[in-house]
Amino acid sequence: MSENITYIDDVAYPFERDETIYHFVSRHQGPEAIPVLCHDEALTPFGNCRLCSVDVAAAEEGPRRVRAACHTRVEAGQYIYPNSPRIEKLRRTILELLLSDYPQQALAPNPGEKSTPFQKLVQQIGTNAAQPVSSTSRFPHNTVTIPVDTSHPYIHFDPAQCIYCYRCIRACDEIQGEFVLAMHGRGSRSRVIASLDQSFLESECVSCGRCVQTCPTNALTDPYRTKTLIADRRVRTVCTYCGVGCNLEVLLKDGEIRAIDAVGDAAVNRGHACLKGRYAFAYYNHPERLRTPLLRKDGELQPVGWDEALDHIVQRLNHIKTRYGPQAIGGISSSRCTNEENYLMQKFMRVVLGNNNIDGCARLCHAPTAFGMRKTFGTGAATNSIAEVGVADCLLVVGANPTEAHPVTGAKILQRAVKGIPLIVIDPVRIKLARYATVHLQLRPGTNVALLEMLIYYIITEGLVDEDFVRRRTEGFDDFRHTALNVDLERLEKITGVGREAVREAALIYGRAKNAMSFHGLGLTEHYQGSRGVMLLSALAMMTGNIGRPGVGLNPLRGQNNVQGAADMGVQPGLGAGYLDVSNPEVRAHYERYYGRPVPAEKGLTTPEMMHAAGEGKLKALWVMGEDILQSDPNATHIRQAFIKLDFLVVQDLFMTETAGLAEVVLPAASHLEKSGTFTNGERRVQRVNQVIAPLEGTRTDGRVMVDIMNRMGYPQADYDPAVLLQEISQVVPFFAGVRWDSLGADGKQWPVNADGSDTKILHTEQFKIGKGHFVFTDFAETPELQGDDVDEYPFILTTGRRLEHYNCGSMTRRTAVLDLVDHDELLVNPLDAARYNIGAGDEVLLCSRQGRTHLQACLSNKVRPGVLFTTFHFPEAAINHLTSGVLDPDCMTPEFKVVAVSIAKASRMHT
Amino acid sequence: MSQNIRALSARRGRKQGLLFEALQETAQATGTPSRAQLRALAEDGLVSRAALLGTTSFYDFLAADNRNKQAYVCNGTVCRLAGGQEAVRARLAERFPDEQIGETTCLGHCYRGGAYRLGDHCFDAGDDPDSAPGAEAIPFHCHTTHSVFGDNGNEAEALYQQISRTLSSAPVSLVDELSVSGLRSLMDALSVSGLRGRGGAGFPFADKLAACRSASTGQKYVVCNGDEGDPGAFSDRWLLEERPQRVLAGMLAAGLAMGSDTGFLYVRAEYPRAQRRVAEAIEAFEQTPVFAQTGFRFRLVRGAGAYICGEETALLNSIEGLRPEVRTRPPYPAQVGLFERPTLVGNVETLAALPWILEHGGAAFVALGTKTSTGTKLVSLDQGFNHPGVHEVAMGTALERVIYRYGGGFRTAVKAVQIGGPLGSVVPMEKIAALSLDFESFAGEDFLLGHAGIVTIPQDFPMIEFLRHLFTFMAAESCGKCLPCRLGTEKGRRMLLEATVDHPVDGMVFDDLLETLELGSLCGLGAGLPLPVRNILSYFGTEVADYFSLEAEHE
Repeated sequence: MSENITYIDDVAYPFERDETIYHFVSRHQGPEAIPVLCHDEALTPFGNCRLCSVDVAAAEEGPRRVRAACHTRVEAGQYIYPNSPRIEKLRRTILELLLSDYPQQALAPNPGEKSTPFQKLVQQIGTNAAQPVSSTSRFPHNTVTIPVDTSHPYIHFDPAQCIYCYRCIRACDEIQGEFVLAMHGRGSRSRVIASLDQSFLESECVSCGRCVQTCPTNALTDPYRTKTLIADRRVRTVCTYCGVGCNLEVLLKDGEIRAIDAVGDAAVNRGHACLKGRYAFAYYNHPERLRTPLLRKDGELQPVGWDEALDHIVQRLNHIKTRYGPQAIGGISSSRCTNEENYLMQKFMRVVLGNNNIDGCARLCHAPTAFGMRKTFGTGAATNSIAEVGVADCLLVVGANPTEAHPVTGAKILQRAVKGIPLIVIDPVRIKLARYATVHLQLRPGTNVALLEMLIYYIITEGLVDEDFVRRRTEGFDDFRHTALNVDLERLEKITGVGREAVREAALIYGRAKNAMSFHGLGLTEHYQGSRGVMLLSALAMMTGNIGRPGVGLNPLRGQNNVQGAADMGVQPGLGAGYLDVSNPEVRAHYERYYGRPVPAEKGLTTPEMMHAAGEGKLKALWVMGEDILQSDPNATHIRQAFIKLDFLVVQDLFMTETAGLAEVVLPAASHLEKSGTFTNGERRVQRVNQVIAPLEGTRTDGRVMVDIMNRMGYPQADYDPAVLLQEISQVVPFFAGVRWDSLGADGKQWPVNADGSDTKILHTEQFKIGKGHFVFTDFAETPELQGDDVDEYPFILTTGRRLEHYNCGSMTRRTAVLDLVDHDELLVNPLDAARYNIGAGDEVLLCSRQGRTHLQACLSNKVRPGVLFTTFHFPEAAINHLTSGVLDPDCMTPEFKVVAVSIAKASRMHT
Repeated sequence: MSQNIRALSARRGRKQGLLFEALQETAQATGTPSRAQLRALAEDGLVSRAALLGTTSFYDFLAADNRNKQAYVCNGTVCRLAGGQEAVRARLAERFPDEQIGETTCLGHCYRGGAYRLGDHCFDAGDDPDSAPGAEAIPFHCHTTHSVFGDNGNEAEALYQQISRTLSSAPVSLVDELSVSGLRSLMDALSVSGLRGRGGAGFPFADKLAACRSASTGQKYVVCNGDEGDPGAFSDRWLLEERPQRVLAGMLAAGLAMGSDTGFLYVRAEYPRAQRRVAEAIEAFEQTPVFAQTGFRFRLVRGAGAYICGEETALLNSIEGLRPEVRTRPPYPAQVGLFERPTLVGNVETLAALPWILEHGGAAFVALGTKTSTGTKLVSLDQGFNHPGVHEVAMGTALERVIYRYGGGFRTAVKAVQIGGPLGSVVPMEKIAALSLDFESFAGEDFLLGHAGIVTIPQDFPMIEFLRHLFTFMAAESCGKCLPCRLGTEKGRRMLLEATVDHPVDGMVFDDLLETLELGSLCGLGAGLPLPVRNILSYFGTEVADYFSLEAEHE
């Protein structure tokens, strides 16, 4: 007998180490060889339905015992009988027992829908009843009388169709990590509950929908009937709601988008998604979608044809270019658009209009990451891959709230933290991850640099420096160490509000971990010293040797779906496509070779600089592709004034936005469901976005508009075709050398992609992009926002972030049923502060900053410390950016969104 | 169940004490936690609201139904068979409104019957409700040359000293420092003794201990399963109340031998007196030098009312504060047990036998019983006997001798006995002569010895009622995790309750049900139920024939 042989129905088959009987038999005899109900490959085997029972004998002709195939491992020399008569009878009886309580009408598929897995099994296996399955069971009937829960906009629960397989409970636990569902009571009376036996809406459910997806019946459903929809067509594409890059499958029927499901085998999300990706797609054909170009005539935006709109743009741009020169025109590209569209936009600005005034929303978020990591490592992109969360021994999260802003990545981190993998959270807000963290360093907003100084101090004094790595891979550490040891801990404690012992504990955890992986977000970058914080975080990783292998590194969590790609494609004034410095003549020659036109040498303007130039009357025209700058950029009043001074503003967008309202021409764009191209996620993964439907009538993709306008302005650009454009990009952008539309594969490729098509999961494995890693020390400096003669008038620090349900300025999510879950921004106020200002829960609070004022509803919460306020910025009514300041990170002109000096008062009126 | 919730509960436990205990505290005021209490506990203790409610709703003494209950009437098999529980309830109704009187199974007063509970004290037919509660101990009779469980003298400290001397000269944290010869002598003695688990399964104890000893290093646990939930069994209660030092000493020996420094003693909620006695014994242990020497800690965990916790993996989940649902096996607790650490789970009687074996050697233990069923066995005899109580008998003793000599025969006419709890065999009178009290004899007749507690079934008690009682009990106590047991126990209960002579149960359907329970169930509760049911259908087929439509199915 061979060591790895066992028998199925007396025929020998090889088995794999630690393989379950279910896996073994399915592998050899097909997925339906053994029926299962409670089993889901994405979940830990549970073994409660017992339908997968098989007969197993330890030897030929030996006594047979019944074993559940899903959780029993194969052993050598077994004789497995998956479908012996008594096994088949056992399965039929189990089903019959279930059916005795099951609503008869639920045994057939709903009209026009396909069968659920349970309905299919019942048809396949049948019961012992003499009558047809659908008519009766021989066992007494119990009626479930709990009403259907339709409280939640996306998740409906009909307990009568529950078959107690626990899959929903396990999905909520093992994949999402929310633990909202549980079994209640015991025995035959036990049933699934949400939270404290409440409705889904009342529960803490985060609406990820994984329970619905795994439920094998129609007990858990969504209003789109995703599980049972008979789709004509399924198109795999990439989500547009954040930088995680989840793969989604869009289901179409009769040419319409009817539902969205998460792709089960996608490398990024393995069947998981958040409520935005899975459910919040109704915006795409919302009645408010712009369906025709608008041109301002007699002060009013009026519908016009595409030709008229484009001709008008050409005429106006030519006029301004001739009269004021190319520098008088600027362009802001969009991180929600494809790589190819961003590439075209920067190309348009550089070679058609002839300036480098191109910028994007990375300016508002991760420009400090790009700048800081380029200084220390040589490239600003994430060093590692998100899947490595699973192998890291310590996780450090700095100024990021992934369970809200990057839900699928957040769930992965949460899963590890819950299991007790050491987690350090550095954040002024007690975010969900902080709850499970080993150490939460709840610093005063804006003091990351001071806190990292303390951490670095303890890494050195506790002897946790990886001297070997430092010697081999880096330079400048001796000076860095010398300076870092000279810090004044008492001063830093005072600045951060965090005691040194807690920081020391964090240093010990991080420094002693075999593999420590850090994640950071805008809570690190959107500060006066944003890029300095990134450089210190880089230093922390380098000095502990946490670079260049699985489960380590610096991993910026990218906010927008393609913010990585937009930057890669050259959407920044100083660096063209592939981050090549346009001030370098050789680089310009390289670009000219492919563009056929010269690229200007003159340094371009960043977004804040463009606003400034517009305010001064120097910038005359601005083209904004898919961004609502008025809502999303700081100091909105100042920006509005600048926009009003512009001679000419073009806006491409899906909806009428605050920015579009000021435009001379508004072009109706197409959503990501209506176009093809590529998005690059936060782990440098270039993934295919596949067109699901044609652009809605009257709209055009941003790429096509770019091509149209380039052609009309005399540049011969071929039609928008990702395959053709990628061919060009692969020649222009060195790290895209092997990127081809047709060979990206289902899961895309992580750059750098070599010419042979091989990709890169981990950067800096042998040496840094810049050769030796570079240490940069910076001491803490207080933001100007919290200084000045009038600082006493603004005793609070307001900081901002996202919440799970909405996406940035909310233009998409506010046009979906997500509104039924969250319909306003609220202000978190510490109860002590609230008491001092006589503010109660739900009261309207007047917030005033130096820049402006707004009203928000108060939510009393211990998630913020006294003196700190937190809010989100999803609703225009809240107008948070009327408050935010003009303070910029001097290194990269990124605004300090995260610290605003404000005063608060209970408002007398109820509405803003 | 959930690895995540287990991890969170473990983390909480390290800082704030056992989650399960915190849950019980929330129920102290009114008998069940309020929503606000669960919310606060969830916030404070990392485990989610749903998970906490999922746990509390499982237990008799934590679930919402327990609100404001002041008194509980025992509805265990013996109390039912003996009758008189209506009178007990009526007496209680004079003192409490109806909604304050609950039911409970079983208080372990089967040697008298008529049991009920008021607060933390239990009473039975033999008690004067106005007298000091629980003053009277369970009658105990030893019928062997030596009692394996010693005397109820002040022997505790000497016991611990002996174990500590034999096994350890250093704190347990230094496993390698264990006295090698002492360890070898214990393992040898256990191996020679042939001690088999007394909880019912009869697994060789030495093998279990060896597996735990060779499991990975680091934290390990000893868990004593004092969840003697079987109606009709009260021998563990006797040990916990009268010989707690023996139980602790056994746990200490097993713990030191396997390299564990912590023993959890799980005592069911229905045994408040046993809980008190164990708590006192632990306190006394902590006053001895052995405690300081070994660093071994005992933790008393009080159950909250769920029969399934007697199943070892459900018991582990219970201590962890999870729903006490049965886990799939493998992995076995010896590999992945309490809080995912290697854990030895032993029955009270098994562990309590260790000190004697250690003192007298394995061969002496063998000499007490038979070659394959060694040692002695504690047998609980119910109130149907003339000499009810706990009897220590040699393994291999003829059942007739146990019943007629030691038990003094029956008080009234009996038609059968159920041996080894509600999942044990129903043995008709004519089979008694063929049996002796050991694993092999019972297995030879397709019976199970189990824990060997004996319940008498009076001549006039209808077997259909007995069947209904069995199914009702199992349907109430099934954890509900696996479909065969969840559905099979409940459907069987309904079928039997609804059966009349005019509308009998379809015998073929009932047989399918039994087969499904037996083959499909995840644990012994569902899988074990068909044994007594089939015994009744076989031996009392004529009596119940009218309630079943197919004679052929009764054999």
